[in-house]
Amino acid sequence: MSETLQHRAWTCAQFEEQLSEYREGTLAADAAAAARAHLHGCDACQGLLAAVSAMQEELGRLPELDPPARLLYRIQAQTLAPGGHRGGTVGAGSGWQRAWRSVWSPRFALGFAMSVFAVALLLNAAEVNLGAVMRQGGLSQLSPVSLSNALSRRFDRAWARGVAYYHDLRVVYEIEAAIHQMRQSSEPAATSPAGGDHSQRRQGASQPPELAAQLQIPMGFWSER
Amino acid sequence: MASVGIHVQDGELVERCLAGDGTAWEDVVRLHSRRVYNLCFRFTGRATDAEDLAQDVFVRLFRNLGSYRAEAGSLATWLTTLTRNLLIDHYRRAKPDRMTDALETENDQGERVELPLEAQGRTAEQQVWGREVQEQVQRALLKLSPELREAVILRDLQDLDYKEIAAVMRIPEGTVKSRINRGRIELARLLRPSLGAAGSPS
Repeated sequence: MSETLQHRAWTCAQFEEQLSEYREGTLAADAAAAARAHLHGCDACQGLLAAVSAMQEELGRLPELDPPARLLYRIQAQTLAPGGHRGGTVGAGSGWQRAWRSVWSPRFALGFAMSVFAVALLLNAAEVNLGAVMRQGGLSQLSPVSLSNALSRRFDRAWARGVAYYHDLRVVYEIEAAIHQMRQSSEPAATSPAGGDHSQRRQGASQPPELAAQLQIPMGFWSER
Repeated sequence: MASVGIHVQDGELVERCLAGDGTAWEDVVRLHSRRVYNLCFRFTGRATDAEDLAQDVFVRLFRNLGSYRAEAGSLATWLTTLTRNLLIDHYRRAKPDRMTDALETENDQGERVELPLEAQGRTAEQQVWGREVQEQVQRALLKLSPELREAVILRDLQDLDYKEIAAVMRIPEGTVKSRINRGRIELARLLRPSLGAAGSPS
């Protein structure tokens, strides 16, 4: 009887203090009875208990977040890369830290450098000026659509240049072949090999040597360029 | 949470790190970066701060691996202690900034929250639940004093038991329990208006 009276004597503050333990069922039997007795007659504490339960449910639904991938790179750069440990003294472990830097740095530094290089090449091919992107904050330049547009523009131009080059080459080749034929018909190949060599040299560097002419390679074209 | 067997494994892993085994350090980072990052994020509420702090934690761990003693506790608890100390330092350092912020944006709802882009949650339920509620809960968390906040995060989000939390915070278990309890009640009161009927007084 006296025990029941004592239960009823629990204040809201006392209940609040034990709320978590009451929820988790870790209160001793008599304290749990006291809590129940107080709760029975106290709307405010019932409301608080419900609010804590609802809050804990929400808290439990907070997702566990994935750390960004660059965090791992940053950690490796700060710990394993040569020249890491910026802004701090290296402790007693500096010996072994150096030891695995040698194990690690090729693997990581190379992989990382290669990916940076690949991205830089791609951006360069797409004619993205990184400096301009940084200055203007024009990150839209880096969107896949604009990258692929720039790349196809680049390809079209290279193709057109290739075709023009081929045409040039054909014209030059035809001219040189014609000149060669004309020369062969006007000089009926009576000179000695040594003399022929001299006469050819005197005629100028742009003239194709005999061997090249026989193989029909327009040497003049190459030496002119 | 952590058994003796795990401590032995932790000890071996650290030994391998100290012997110069690079993959062992990779394992340490992979095993623990997620938990450290989440602890940092829930305490600061900002993705960029969380990233910087998590990086600091591992740089410090790397420098001090030699002083880890497996018999004194798990690597996870040791790392949590390290993280917690850095978070408290960060909180103290950032305090003046926070006070000027508060003066400038008097009508603001509270601390600024900056969820990472991928904070949507992976299950369908988490996605329905959505970003907005996450931000509400996170903002309420930031309104708690750091002592209550860390206690609630370690217990309810990181699932540490009272004993582990007592070791991390270097306070008696009784104090841990009372801080967690007070933190939960304060959080419930802060969130009561937004959590609907369940939390409203009858």
